[in-house]
Amino acid sequence: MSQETKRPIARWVIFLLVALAAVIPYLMKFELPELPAEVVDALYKEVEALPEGTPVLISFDFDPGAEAELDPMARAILRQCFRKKLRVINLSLYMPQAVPLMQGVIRDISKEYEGRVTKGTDYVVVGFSPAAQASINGMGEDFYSVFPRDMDDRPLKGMPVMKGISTLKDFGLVIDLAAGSLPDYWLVFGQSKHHFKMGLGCTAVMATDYYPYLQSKQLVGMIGGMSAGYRYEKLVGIPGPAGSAMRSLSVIHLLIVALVIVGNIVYFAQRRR
Amino acid sequence: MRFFKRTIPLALTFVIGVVFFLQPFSPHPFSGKLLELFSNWVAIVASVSLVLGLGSLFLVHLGKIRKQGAGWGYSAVLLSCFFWISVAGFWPMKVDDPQHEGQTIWKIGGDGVIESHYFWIYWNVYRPCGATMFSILGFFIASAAFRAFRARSLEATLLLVSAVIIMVGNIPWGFEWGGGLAGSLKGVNWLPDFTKAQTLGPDIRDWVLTVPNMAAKRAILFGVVLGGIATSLRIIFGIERSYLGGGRD
Amino acid sequence: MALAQGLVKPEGFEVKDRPDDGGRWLVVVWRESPSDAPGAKYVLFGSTSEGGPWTQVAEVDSKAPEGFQNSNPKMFWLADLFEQAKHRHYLEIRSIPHPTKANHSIPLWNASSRSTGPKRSYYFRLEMVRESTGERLVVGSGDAQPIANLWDSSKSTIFLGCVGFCALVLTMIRRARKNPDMFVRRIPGLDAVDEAIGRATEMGKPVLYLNGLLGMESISTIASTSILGRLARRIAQYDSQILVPCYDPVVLPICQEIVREAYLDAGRPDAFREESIYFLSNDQFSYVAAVDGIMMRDKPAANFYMGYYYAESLLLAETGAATGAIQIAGTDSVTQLPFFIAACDYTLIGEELYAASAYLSRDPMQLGSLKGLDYGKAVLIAMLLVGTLLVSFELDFVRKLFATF
Repeated sequence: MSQETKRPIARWVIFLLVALAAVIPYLMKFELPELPAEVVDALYKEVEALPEGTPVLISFDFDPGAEAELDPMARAILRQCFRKKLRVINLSLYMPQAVPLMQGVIRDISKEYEGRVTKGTDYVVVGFSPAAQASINGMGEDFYSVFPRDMDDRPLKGMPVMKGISTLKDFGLVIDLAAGSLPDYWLVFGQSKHHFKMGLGCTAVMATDYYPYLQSKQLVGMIGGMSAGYRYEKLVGIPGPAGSAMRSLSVIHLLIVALVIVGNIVYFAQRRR
Repeated sequence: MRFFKRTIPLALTFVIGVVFFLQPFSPHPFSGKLLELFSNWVAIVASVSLVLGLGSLFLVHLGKIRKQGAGWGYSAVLLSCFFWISVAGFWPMKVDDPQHEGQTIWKIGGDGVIESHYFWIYWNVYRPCGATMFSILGFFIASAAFRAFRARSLEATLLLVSAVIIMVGNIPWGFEWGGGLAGSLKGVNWLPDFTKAQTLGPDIRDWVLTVPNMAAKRAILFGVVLGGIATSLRIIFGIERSYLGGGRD
Repeated sequence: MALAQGLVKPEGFEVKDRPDDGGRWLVVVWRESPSDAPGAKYVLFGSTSEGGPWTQVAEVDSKAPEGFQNSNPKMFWLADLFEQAKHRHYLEIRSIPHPTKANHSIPLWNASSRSTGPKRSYYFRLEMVRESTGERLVVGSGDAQPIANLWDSSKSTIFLGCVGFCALVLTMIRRARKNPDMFVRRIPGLDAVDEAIGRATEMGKPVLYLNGLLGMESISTIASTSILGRLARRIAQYDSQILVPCYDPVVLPICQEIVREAYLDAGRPDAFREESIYFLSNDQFSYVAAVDGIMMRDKPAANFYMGYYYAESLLLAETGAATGAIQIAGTDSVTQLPFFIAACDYTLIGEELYAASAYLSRDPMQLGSLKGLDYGKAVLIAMLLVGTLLVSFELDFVRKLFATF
């Protein structure tokens, strides 16, 4: 029978504690120590090693629900790419709701680099394509068969940013920022068929599923969750939203550990009685 | 009638099942085109079936409003929001024409900019609502962890300990404390070297994630994939017919 | 051209169609030369006609490992098993630079795969060059036509493995017809189904059934709809009520039909209410918010979460727990299993969801497929153990045999 076991602490008290643990550290300004992560550093170094002008494909495959985790890493990656004068091609295969998020990130970061990056020469937003599997297959054969025009309705062929690109193999690096099952499609229908370098940014829950691909070197690096996004921001050297969120996250983690310990103490005390 | 409701669907399932079992093994362009054709048709059928879903939605909520059943006000809100955002999606606004600098054109639904009605709803209603729903998970995780992580048995204790290791290992202080623990163990000669590494915290977390966690996940995945193949065989050969409605006859 | 002094011509130069592809690639192959050393290069020229014009397709150092893939499984997968490929060089070619237009290339096409027309030949010439001494040597020339292959022979082992597994399952299904009494271990989550439905009937509350967040193309949704049919039959017999809010519009009419048929089979067609199976939304969090609202208002006594779930799993399960419902979950989503295990009373893990239909119906043919699945797993475990042992002694031909390309 499922009835709620008698709780020593009422549910609303737990929720209140979590709310306080989220809000108070967010408003405070204290520094957090370093949090090294090998797989995050690997992706950063991979991007750093790309020569100027290398085309990089970034696939924005997350919706507003996962925006809190993935938006900071998207901004950090885009800053690094613009700083290194890489050519950035942006698209989405997840759902139409991801497109405004993609546009928002690119709009904000390109404003920071105004005068140093130009749309059409340094970056382009090509839009959304449904049926991810078919799209990735199509891009593997001919990129322009899937995306003939950008979101401003300009033909992609002939654009300076698309120079030398005809298939997925022509990208120096493909980065998927995903909250759903898209990395599986990218890995199975993209990376394993066409053998391009691929990096992944994903939610913390999904990250554990992709460690085998890191071991087999199908992924060159991975940013899994908020703490990894925080690490990436530190590496890029420009503070972003992950920093303040990380303060709340750290305190909430400790709160949950404390709640678990308290719960077990009370459980054993009740058992003894 | 049985011919159309049972025989044809079963025959189609068998033929298409066998064809797409063989499809990944053929590199011929025809194979790729076939996959693309069926993928496109799946997307088309799913889009058309949205009409069915919307019909069901209208029926249920209009019925509630008509009968003034419990919560009919929410149904009225739902239907009015549906019409509001549909109209906003067709509301044209002037945007800069990228093809001809300095000119403006009318674009249906706006251009992704916040000032358009449609995207105002997206940025100010849909996006915060989605983020809020996802954020509720934080509260529920705390509540579920408090309720479920009790050391009732050996397995529950292992679950509890690994959850604590991962949670502490994922925060910067965990790295510091792990390093501190490693520092304090430096004097203990009989312990292996990895226990004295500065990265003790993340190392233990990574070991838990990449060794026992990965082993369990792989084992479950093997079962899922083989179970999927067995279920697919049952469907292809018509042994499993519940998806046609009503089971075997 | 300077006289070829000191450069030794490598043997075995060939231009051929790359096997196991869709007719877009050619391969140039030749054996190693004693002159292969740092400073010596191979330069490949290509043309669409026999007399030229020739353009440079590739230039690789004779000793640079990244210039060649000496053990390309696609090309030499069988030879590579026995280590013969290590003394060959090859280059894969997908296009030839345009002779007159800069930054343009001519992709290789098999005419029959692209248009109706005569098949095209492409011509290649390989030269060996030592820049320090100015030596140049023509290794060989040849032509080939790219051909679209019907079968990828490098995946033959995978195909045979799949066919073997299918044969095993079908054999067990056949055997089950003759011997229907088959043992299947207890699955507590499925044994609790009757208890859950009974509880709902006693309390006069509905049973909430969710199919997950994927469409009918997903195996987990098909398994879920098959469980729904069996569950709906029992609910009809108990004279209880079922609620099935659907995420996918394609799943909606199928669920309506399944439940209608279930009520008909149970002899209670009058009790069936079509409005209890309805579409909510195919947006993830909108759906979850609506279902949570249903749980808080209608307070179902039993919640079933059968199918594939994403992040909303804990939202559903915790809300259900707060209402005091008995909760049985079944999912093949590995990332969400921990949440269901923590928050639900019973959880079907992975393939137990697929086995549920067979378990609940006790149909011999379905049970036979379960047996076949179990034997298949036993074979897989044996292969894992044998393969691990062999690789430990550096005998990795088995691993190469089953590598996916």
